[in-house]
Amino acid sequence: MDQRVVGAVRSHPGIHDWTIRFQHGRGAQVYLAGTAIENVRQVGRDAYEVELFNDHEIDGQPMRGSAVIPLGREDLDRLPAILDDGVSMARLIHNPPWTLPDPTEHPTVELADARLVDAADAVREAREAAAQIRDLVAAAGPGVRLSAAELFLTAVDEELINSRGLEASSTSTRVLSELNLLADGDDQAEFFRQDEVRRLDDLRLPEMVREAAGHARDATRARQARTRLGPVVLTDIAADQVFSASVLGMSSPYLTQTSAGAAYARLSQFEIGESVFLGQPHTGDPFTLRSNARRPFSVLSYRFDPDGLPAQDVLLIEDGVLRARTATQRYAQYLGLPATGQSGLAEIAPGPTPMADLLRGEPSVYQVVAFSAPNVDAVTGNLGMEIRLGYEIGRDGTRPIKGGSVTGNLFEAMAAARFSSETSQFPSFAGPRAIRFESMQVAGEDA
Amino acid sequence: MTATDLSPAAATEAQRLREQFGFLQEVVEEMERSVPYASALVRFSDGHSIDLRDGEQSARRQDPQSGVVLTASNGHALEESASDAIDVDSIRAAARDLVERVRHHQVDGPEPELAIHADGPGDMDFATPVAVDPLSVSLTDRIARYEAIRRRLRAMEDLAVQAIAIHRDGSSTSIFSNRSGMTTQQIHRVVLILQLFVSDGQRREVDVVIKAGTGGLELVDVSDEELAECAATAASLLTAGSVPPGTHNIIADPLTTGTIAHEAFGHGVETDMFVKERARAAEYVGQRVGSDLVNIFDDPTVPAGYGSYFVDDEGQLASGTAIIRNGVFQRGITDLYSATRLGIPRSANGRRESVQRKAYARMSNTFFGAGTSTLEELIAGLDEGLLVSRAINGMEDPKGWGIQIWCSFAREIKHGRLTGTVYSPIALTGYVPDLLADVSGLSNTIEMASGSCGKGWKEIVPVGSGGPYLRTRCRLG
Repeated sequence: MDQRVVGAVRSHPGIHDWTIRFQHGRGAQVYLAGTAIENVRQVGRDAYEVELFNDHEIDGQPMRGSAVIPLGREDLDRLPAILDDGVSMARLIHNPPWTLPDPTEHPTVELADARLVDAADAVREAREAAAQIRDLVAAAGPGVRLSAAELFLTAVDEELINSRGLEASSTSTRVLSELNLLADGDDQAEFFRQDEVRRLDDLRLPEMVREAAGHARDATRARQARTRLGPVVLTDIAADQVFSASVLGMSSPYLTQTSAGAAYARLSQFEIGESVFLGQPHTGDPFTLRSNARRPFSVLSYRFDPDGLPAQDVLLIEDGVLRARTATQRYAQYLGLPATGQSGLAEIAPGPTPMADLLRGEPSVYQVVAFSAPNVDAVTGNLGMEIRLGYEIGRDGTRPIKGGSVTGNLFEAMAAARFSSETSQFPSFAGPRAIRFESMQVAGEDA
Repeated sequence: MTATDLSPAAATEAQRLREQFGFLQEVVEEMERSVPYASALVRFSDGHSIDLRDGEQSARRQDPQSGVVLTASNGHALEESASDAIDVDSIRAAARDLVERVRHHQVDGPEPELAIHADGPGDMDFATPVAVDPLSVSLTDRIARYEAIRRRLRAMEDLAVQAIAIHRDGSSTSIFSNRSGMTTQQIHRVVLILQLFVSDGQRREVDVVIKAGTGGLELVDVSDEELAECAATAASLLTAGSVPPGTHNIIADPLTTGTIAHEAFGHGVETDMFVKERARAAEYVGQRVGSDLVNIFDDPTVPAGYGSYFVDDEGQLASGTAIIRNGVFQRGITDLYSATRLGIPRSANGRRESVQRKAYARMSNTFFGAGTSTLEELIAGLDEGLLVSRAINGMEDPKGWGIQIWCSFAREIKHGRLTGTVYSPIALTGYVPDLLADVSGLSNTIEMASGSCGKGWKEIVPVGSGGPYLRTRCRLG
């Protein structure tokens, strides 16, 4: 961390409290167009973020104003002017007072792949992983070929200090991959998947390519889903998409609804001590949800949150009843709740039923493997997602399906949800590999 | 936007940028002594963001995201180096390192030849015209103005539980240099988002007013009529039912029409998808893909368009592309790599989220051309149908030619009239060729809207979309 930033912030008379966050990021990106390399990039960036606070009064009432000031390297030569502008902004913002966290211990949380911490190593690792993907797809069998792949390998060193003497640091890595396979069959089709993990090995490339190849082949035979009301089982990518942030970054639905921030903004429909099923009778498996920011190598884990609060593992929902909220420092104080830090990975308790049993039903069950995109409204719970690939499983066998949209309300549907006993970990949650909703609307091909 | 006479302030800034970054020309020339093609892009941003809501306010400076990306071709692929260090010495050192990396490039797979023939507009300077400069209105006055609007909106509906006003103003400056010369551009964008959340104790719903574009504060005026409509719509959604799932006649509002254009024949014709065999449209160049009424364009020169710019991130001068004319697919939109691999003329659609990311073929402002009907005529022409409004987001499927759009609500039409029945929310899906073939009417005016576009689920860039009211058939749920 450049001490010019610390010195300028400490000495500014209009800044009464502050937090400085610094990230030193570096990494490599490789892009395949077909089997040819399109681009190889080496990237690096130092970024600061100063959150400054100005305390003042409005009509005799104490107020805390704040402004968030991102800084680039070029800004370090003109810090006084930028901070003056920031303080001017903070003076115009009037929020109820709250205090920053005091110094505290931070847990050790495993967040980094040692192979990726050095930028030069990352370029080599990215090229090797790209070559491995090429080889795995070539060996995936006839009729399947590589359309495109992208690999981003990033390492970030973070530091945080605040005006109360809190100091924290961590090193983390992140691997983002995209894989698109083409298959020839009745109709040419593709299967796309995006994954995000902390360690390169967690991509499980052989398994990923094998599964994607199978799905691509099935997609060539997929027929349009029919309009119906009936059981829908979300597995794998589709299960993850329901619990993830929506397209373009809207918050994950359950972690939003169980947050103190949403409660303070009156956007939460959940109340502590009450059912989370929005008035629907609970007929499904026990629904128990935790927020775990300490889970080793989860992309949603951290050592400290943006305020410097240590990572925690928090029970949020127990058997369908809200027990607690995640609360950042500010909203914890506003609402009189324990400060837990921002949410981590959603962990959902498995159920008693093997996945194979959840996939049975008369006359048939729709299994969705992947939607085109996640799309659950974090405030209302309304969902509407197109089936990119699924299967209709019934007495006549199993046939691939695509198209049509699954619509409904996630919070209401969860009242009758059943969870598989088998579990897995996804970018957005860890928990049952399959989730069955007894009665979901599918708008597809008209009967 | 076309090259305009710069305002005195913009001209001064352009001159300053040339003085500060003129060395980029030498860097590129030096690189091209060793590599067949090189370019440099420096970019940085500035601006503010204000968020006002019940119980809290926040303000932030926009992330400057300042940095440089150096691009070099090794004759087969591109290699890039991106950094936040934009001083002379750092960029020269990065250029040397990149050239060394290219020189030591070892073939590790199939590598077709990549012969880049890049030109550019030469030495030119561009800046967004601004009528009301955000900097001419103090932040104090802007916060007061938007807080007053927010409170007025909230007061319009008794069932309101929260009202949010978000205002962003900012400038994005870029300096691009290749063998053709150096261009500078200053793009100014403004946004005002007003959201009203309502609740009847059981259900929560929301409606939104969005004003945005490239320009100044003149683009973010909002009328009391618009606020009243937002409040009324939000309240009506509390009693909205679920649309009967199935295939319906619809009239899409301009926001939804624009999203259809964006998802169906915007993403579907980004030619990097052609290279990857991910776009069915590649097989249909010169062929019919919709009714005679269908015209779709992508144009970064739309005045005040949210996705507008003068030069793309790979040095191509902005110009419009006719994607579909009278129902026949004309051509796609390109980035440098895909145009070179495919051997087709470039369009000005090579865009990056930031210097930390690669350039892809991306949309700018994508829209349907206008028709000849009025909205009243389109409604009167339906015995049964739905007026679908407020597209929120969508997802592309260039290979399968599917389409998924999520809309806030739809109003029922029966016997050529709106009945007052509202359905919410609406998931619109369909097969693109069928949807376009069924286009049976378009209104005679175009409205444009703003948005953020992802390539898949990342690489976010600002875009515009829009069109007229459009009548067709599709599947709703």
